[in-house]
Amino acid sequence: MAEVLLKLDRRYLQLALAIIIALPFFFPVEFPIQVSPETKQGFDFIQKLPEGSVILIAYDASAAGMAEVHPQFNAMIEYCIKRHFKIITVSTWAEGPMLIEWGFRDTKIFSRLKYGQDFVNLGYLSGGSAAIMAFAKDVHALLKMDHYGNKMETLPMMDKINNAKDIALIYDVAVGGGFTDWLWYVQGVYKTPMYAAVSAWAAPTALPYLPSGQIVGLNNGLKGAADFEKLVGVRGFGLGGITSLSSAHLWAVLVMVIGNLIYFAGKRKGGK
Amino acid sequence: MSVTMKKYIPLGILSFLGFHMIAGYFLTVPIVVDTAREVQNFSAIISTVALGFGPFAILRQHIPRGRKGNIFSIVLLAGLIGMPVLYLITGSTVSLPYDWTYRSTVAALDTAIYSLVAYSIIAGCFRAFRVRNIDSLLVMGAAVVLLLGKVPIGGAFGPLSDWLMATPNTAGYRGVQLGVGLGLFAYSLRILLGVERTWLAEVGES
Repeated sequence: MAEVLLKLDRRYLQLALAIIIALPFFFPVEFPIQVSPETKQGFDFIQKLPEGSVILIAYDASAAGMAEVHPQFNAMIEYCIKRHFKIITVSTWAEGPMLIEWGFRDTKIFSRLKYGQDFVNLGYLSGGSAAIMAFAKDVHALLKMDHYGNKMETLPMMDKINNAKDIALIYDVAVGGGFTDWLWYVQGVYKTPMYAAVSAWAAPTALPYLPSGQIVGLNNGLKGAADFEKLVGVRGFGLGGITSLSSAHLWAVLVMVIGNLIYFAGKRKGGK
Repeated sequence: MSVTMKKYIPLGILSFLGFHMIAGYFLTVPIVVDTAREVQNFSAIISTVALGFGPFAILRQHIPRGRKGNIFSIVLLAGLIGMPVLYLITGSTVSLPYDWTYRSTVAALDTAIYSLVAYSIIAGCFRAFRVRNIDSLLVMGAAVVLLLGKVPIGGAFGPLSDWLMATPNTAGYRGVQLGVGLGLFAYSLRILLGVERTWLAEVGES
């Protein structure tokens, strides 16, 4: 056994990972989901928002990380529709507007809400943190038209929205640390509540802002998406992909064990 | 060009605008607040213009000149020119041809490359997490708890993984953030006061 382990090529382990990730999509198995406290805290906050509240959804991600964050965007859109919230979407990433469009298509938003009255897509916000600051200070001074080229004055919903104080919640869908721009320059200045829906690797950097009250909730990667979908009552890729994620994590732990068995087998044979 | 033009005038503009932005944040004097807002809008416009110049820089760099590896430049240029042309023909980013091209090329490649991280992690799990001493045992223990605690299959580890994230992780990250924040503040102040001039490269000495 030790001989076999010592000669094991790591590429077999990687091939096994690919199979383990793919299998649950063909043979779905469901595990009971325990909602994370940080997602529950965020959901409890948005539950208290009154009907008609304006939610700004910032899609700060590219296609690379969309497996983790796109379900979080879709679930929030579904929730906003259910609760009759007004939605503004914007992105500080060039690919963002494209992905927002996909989300609109997934949730069939155009057939359920009226554009300009219930939701508005402001598209790509070029200029990083400076643009975010300018956006928060005076939306109309920065943007003259939306993503589709409609003039701002033709969008009735935007009449009442001048700056970040007119927004009830910023829901930032972010891959990486981009959420800090909204946190530092908008939440910090205007005290607009903020909910971070981030990829798993960014979650440890977002978590310290939760107990300090700077963010009201946190969705942590695909697990956060599954938690949020469960709370909202929709079934998307979050719940669909969580079994694959579970299997992959379990496999990673097993690989650690195998690696250590090889290490100790080698040691016993006198190697390093 | 004189040293005044190369060095002192850029330094003066930078210091003035920097302190102006700080005043716009802390003061409520209308003229200061309004002009600071205009400067912010300008920076957004400048960045958009810079974005427009980007493709020209790429074109200059990648126009085939008969060297090795031209094929990659050709693919890059095909994408750089092809996507805007497709947009101009269809007039929309939601049109089927544009959406299909984006979905089948950019999105597919993006997600494929990002997903390779999983394979690196597995290789890392195989090679790096060896119990050589008590420290590595603690690191491996934390990794196992977090890996299992963050997915439904390891629900029993959930409370412990939440504690690991909320207490040691938060404490460590806050320390790092405080250090970075203070360093950034000191560095910004040095730039605004003209003490730190590395951004001017070596023009001052020429």
